[in-house]
Amino acid sequence: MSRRRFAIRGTHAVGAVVGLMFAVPIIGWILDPLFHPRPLVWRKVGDVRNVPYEQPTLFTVEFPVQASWKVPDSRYAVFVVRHTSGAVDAFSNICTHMECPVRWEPPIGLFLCPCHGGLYNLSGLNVGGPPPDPLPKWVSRIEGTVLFVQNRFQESF
Amino acid sequence: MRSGPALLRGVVQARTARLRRAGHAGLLWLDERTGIIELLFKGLYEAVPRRGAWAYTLGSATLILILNQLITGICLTLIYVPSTTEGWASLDYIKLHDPFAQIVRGMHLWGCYVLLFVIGLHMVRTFISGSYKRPRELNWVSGVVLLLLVLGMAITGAFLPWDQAAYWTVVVTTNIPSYTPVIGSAIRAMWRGGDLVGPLTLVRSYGLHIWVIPVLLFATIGVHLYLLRKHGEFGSYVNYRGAYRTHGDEEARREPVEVPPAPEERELEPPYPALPTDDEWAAPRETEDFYPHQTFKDGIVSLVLLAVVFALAIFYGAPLEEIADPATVTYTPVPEWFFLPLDQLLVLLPVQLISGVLWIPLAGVIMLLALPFFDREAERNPFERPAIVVPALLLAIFLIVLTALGSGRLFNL
Repeated sequence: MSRRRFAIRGTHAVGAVVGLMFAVPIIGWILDPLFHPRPLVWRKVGDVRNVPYEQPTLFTVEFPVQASWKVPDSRYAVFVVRHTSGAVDAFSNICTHMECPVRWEPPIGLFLCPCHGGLYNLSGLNVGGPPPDPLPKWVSRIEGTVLFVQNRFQESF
Repeated sequence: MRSGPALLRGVVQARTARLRRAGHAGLLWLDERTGIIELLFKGLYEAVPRRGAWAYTLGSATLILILNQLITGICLTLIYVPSTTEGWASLDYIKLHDPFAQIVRGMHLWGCYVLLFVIGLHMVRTFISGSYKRPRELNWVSGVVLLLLVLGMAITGAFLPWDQAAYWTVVVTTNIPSYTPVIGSAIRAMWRGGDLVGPLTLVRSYGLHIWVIPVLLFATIGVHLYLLRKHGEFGSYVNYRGAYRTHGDEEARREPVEVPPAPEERELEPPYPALPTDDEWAAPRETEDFYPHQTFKDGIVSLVLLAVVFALAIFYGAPLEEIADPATVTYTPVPEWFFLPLDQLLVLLPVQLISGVLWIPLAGVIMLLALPFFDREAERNPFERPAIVVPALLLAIFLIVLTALGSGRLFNL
């Protein structure tokens, strides 16, 4: 190998090792959130006996949203729907299309997404607009008559 | 013999023809629109001195270490919050839960320390080889400005973790200008954003650290590199020894000196030096292509330095002490090592001369800036210019003694 060829190979090899020393920690860091799921917590919503039948009632709960340093919890909406059958649904306000905040529209009796016009009925099923999936339900449980929700959905989308 | 630019054009034409034969259509398309081939060839095949080439790796090592600071610093802005309540917490989080980010922070910290050390070596090398002499006075001046900007980066960066070490560094550092006559406390209040150190102090230090100083720094690096390429590489005394008469009477010196022809294998010669200061120091005797010969040596030195930074980042990481506590009565503040000489001055100066902590460093900066305009002889051999080298040596010993005294005082060495 000539002196010149050796120097060319050497320059390239050195560049590769330097690149690797930057790439390893930086790529590791970029991938880090994939291995740090948010901490799961239960939050009390309220007593379901105070919720009228077949009518979405808005509550708010405070959740930690990410694995991070200590910051105040964020407010999230829970639409509680108490069916005459006895079942209780705890819908979020997060549209399955682009995650805009949906609202309950009493005149039409549907959940409406203000961004692109997604529509969901009282059971959270899609009845119009672009959303690909039903309105998400928080994971919930009832202790006696008190409703609790967890900061994750029953089916992820 | 054709002169530099014409020779360069000829070589570019020959190489372009070779590329066309080899079928590099994309490169030729790009070249027609940007002139990139000539630019590339100028950059890659500059003639650099062959002897002493390892000593000329320190500039590129400095650049690589500054790029390390840029890359890791940009990454850190993706997680650090410039806030007195959340800043420390965000760094504490990565210390406990995010090992890769902790390595990045370690590379930023140790990269800074190694960078300052290498800048020192680069300046010493430039000083010894007399590389600041005409026409390269402004290379040196822009280098001094770069040193000051890097020190500014180092000190504003030391403020940001907002742990005990950072907090008390902020307090002492922002107190130094308060000894300016008459307007001292006003300067301190403007820097701190109030009489005491608080959220404004942190957020403006952050703005200086990630935005104001970097803009000035990279602009000045542009000037420094432009001047480097404009004047070419002269090399130092070793590149001239034996090639020219370095001694003799005035008459003999004025005789024209024959510049040795370019070696046969060299296809192009840059127009260097652009402005010969003196026939005797016109051009180094032996040269070779910047790529790959110098880049290989540059790469080896940069790799070793970065490997040191990387290893220190992994094995020592970046320390984070308890969160800043102005009420402490047990914490002993210790300055960053590169501020030890200044800190020792604060101990040694009698009370009537406290303002010396301002004017002694200021005098040092002025001396550095004035050096190329004061030392104007063409002579580059360090042993032939004792009037410059000896005082500089004494000043360096003064700094080392202050550092040693400061270390002994603070670390019970």
